[in-house]
Amino acid sequence: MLSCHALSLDQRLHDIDGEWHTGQVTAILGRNGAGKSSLLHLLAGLLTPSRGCVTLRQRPLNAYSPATLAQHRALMLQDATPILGLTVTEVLETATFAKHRPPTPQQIERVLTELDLYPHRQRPHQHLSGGERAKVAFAHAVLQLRCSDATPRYLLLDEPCAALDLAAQEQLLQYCQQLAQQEQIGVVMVLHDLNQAMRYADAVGVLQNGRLVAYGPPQRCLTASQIHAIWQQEVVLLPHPQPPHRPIIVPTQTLSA
Amino acid sequence: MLALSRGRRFAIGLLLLLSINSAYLLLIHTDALPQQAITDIVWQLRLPRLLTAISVGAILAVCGTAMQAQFRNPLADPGLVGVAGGAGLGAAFAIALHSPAAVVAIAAFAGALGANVLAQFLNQQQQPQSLLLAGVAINALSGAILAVLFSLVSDPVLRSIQFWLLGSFAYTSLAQAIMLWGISVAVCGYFLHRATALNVLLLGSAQAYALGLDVKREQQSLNLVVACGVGGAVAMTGMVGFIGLMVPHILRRCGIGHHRQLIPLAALAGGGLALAADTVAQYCAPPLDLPVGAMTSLAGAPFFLYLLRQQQRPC
Repeated sequence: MLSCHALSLDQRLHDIDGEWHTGQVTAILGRNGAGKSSLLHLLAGLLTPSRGCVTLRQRPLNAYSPATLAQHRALMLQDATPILGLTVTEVLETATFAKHRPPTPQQIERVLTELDLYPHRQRPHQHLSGGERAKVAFAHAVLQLRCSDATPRYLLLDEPCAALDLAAQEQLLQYCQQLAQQEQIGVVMVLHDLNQAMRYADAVGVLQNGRLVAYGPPQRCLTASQIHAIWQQEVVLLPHPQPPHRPIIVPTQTLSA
Repeated sequence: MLALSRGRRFAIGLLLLLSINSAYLLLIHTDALPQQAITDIVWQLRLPRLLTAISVGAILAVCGTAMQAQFRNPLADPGLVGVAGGAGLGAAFAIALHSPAAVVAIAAFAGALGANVLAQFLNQQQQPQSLLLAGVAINALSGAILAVLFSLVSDPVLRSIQFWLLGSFAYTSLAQAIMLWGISVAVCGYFLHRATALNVLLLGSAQAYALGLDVKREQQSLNLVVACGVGGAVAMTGMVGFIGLMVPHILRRCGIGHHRQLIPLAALAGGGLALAADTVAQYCAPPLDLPVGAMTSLAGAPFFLYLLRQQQRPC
């Protein structure tokens, strides 16, 4: 299990305690500058906490070598910048670098097909649109975990839907749910869209000024009063007509208006 | 498969061109000479020069390829992090002190390594951008010290320094050429061995770490190998610019992106380009032997600009 205790990072995060379970989707929410990406980067081992620690299977992350850590977690960063000279397939071949052997063509073909990227397999990465690059980055992270035999495995996503159109956002979020349920991967993602978190997350963690102020099921954490207190935004929650019948969050008016 | 077959086509084409150019350079104007004279000319003059040109071109092109992967930028080259500037400064001081050629070479090599150590020391954040800034500062410092040195030395010494800085393959012995050949094989072998790691570096430091690469160690090793390779090349032949920048860029524009193909092809193309430039330097204005560094830039810059203009067209 991935967990953190009294996690602090300079002035950005303060005393975060949390546990991230495999087999479920957790959304990290909060206003701009609340510390969401910093928390994700700490969970990935990219940043070193100023106090507290992140542990994986009861061992601090810094006790793992980069190669071992890469078997347990994959990361999709916010900026999917063009990659110089490589085709989409060549980019995906790097996903299993830690195992010293590339993924099989079948493994690459599977993830490309599932994410509608197969027609782009031989295209230079530099020629892809921003949305296509984001999908390749997601496919890369999925492939990294899928080719690993280690347990537990975590997929850490920093605003994965930012560059995607509506259909691609839905596809990616549904794919995350499947990964969690069918492959027992723990998905932790930073999101801005509260409706996506309400609909697809099993748990949400809400950050405010670097502190974790709410953690639990989205229906419990994303109430109108809680959203008002954190985002300074009036909302109403309407019933969703389709299963799983989680409410839809509709903004009404801002306080400053 | 498409990229592989394209890579093979490129390799065969480059090998053919390299062989034709080599045979021409070895045997030109020898038909009227006695056998002993031909043997002496080939073994003592032409073969060392030919081997030097090919190996220096290969070293510069392969090191340029590695630097472009590290910086994720097709405009990066070994000169960017101050290695060539440090080598030039070391050699200039040795020439100013009237040192023999061997000491000049050692001073140039020490200058390259010193610049590398200084750049690594200044790069406390272990970020490519910081390394780049450190390189810019070292190059500026080297340039300023060289300018002061130019104003202090006598005219003949100034001319010697300037000639050395422009680069030439004409003054290496067979032993030096074989040493350069060894350096080029070692540099190419190292980067071919790290081809997958170079691909991973293209994804950026954070992503590379997330994939299991020890980024700091990889970059330190890469910069050390570049410093040794370029330092060795510059120490024996002077400054030869543009090859490290141009060759990997051209190959990538032609669809060769994976470093497993890019490294050997860059070595072949770099060697071929340096040899072609040296051929032009020797025979375009006889009996003058023009500086090869000027030739690479004269031939390379317009071609590079042409390629930039053709950016949207397939190769």
